Amino acid sequence: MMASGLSIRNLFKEYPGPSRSSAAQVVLSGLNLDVPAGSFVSIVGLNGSGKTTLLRIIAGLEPATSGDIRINGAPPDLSRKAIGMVSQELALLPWRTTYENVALPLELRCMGDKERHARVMRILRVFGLGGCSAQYPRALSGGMRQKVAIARALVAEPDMLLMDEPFSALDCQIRLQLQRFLTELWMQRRDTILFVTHDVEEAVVLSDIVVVISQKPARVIDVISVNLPRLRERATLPVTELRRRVILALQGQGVSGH
Amino acid sequence: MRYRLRALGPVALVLCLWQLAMMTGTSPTGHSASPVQVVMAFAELCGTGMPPGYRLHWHVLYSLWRVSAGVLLAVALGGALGLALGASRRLHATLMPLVDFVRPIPPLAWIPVAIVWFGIGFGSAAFLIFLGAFFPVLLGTCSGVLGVDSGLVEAVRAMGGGRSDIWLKVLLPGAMPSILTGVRLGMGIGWMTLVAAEFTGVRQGYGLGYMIMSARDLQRFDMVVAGMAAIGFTGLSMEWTLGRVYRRLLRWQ
Repeated sequence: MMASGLSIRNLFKEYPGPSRSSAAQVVLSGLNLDVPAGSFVSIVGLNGSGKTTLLRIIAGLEPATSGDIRINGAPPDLSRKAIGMVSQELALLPWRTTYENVALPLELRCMGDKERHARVMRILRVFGLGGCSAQYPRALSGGMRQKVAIARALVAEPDMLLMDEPFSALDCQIRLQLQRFLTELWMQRRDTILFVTHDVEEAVVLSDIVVVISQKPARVIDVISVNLPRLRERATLPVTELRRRVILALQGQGVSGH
Repeated sequence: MRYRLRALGPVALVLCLWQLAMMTGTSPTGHSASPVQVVMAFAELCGTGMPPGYRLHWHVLYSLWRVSAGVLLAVALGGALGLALGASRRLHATLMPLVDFVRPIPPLAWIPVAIVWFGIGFGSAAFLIFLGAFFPVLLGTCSGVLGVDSGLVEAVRAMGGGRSDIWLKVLLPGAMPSILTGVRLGMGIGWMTLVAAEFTGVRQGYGLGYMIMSARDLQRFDMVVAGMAAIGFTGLSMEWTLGRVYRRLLRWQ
């Protein structure tokens, strides 16, 4: 049976130490993770727990030391473009307008002009970005820029969307707006999303499943299902309880880890 | 446009003070020229020419041609080498000492070498201008490539972009502001090198530098100044023409 979605088995990642004699740095040690197709999964871990490394490996930007990763049954491969990625670092190209930035993944796939235009216009409309399609990133607010980045990641209809702390640099108000926007978008489209954050509440409000990972070397310490109807209010009792459970899991490893 | 009109103010002021100084005898005549004399010399350069028969517009065209050839060559070679040095740390470490060694040698010091290599004529003049323009273009391009945010390269890689995509869609446009600054500086230095290059490197009778030196030999100081002004105007109009191109390329900034 071909598993659909993302499946990770026994993933290891080590970086060689600074000198030949020093020990290798183990970032991921035997990590297992499943993101079923069409689900929204968050990974929560303290800063420096290897979350970004994990996403980069899934995206095919870095090789794993060992282990098995399947995205809809196939190993990660940059050339297949099966992945859309959003992060604070992977910024928009400042010399391209909103339209041109969103069109970029399709250009890289050498898609024909006509179809490309139609697809870009469609996603700009869905995202409510039509009004700023001729603007350069410099002229957009931080929240708008992240919206454009998400549109860019989804325009090529990837198998899954990886999001690495996409909202963490934004003002609180804007962050809440974008979280709501992302939820609504997901409810419409049911993309398979793996969302990395250190904001526990964000993880609980957004996702079907919250995966808590330990500090380096990272492994999964708890998997928490969130069976709450969307859109979720933050200050409600069920959200708060789940939030506490995630925090306890994080703290528990913090105590036993040392 | 208004900005250009505003720029006329200081120019007019300098011209008035200059004329005034000449008329009150503050500056000895015979060794300098008043603005009015210079304007008349300008007219004479356009009509009769200096040396007689060699008219101004031909001098301008020949000089433009030499500067363009030198600068274009500098952009091609300096740009290519700059891209390579910006992209490869190893190449940077290997070649940069050589670059920094040759760079401080003034183009004028190359004149004897240029004449030996290229003879007297177009080749050596263009070579000297090339030398002046080469290093600013090289350094501008190199630092431009080095300055491109590595996150942008990653972003394009994550979207499945290959090597050529990264060059054409990230590194080149990202380095463009710095490249254009290098080209601008290079062009300025190219014009500065021109007079010297044409002074010794040209025997054809045309070129603004050659014209200025001929005027000097005939003690026509007014024509010397008019020739200097001609270089200024040519450089300025080149800058304004290219400025449009720059602004279009850098609209996003």
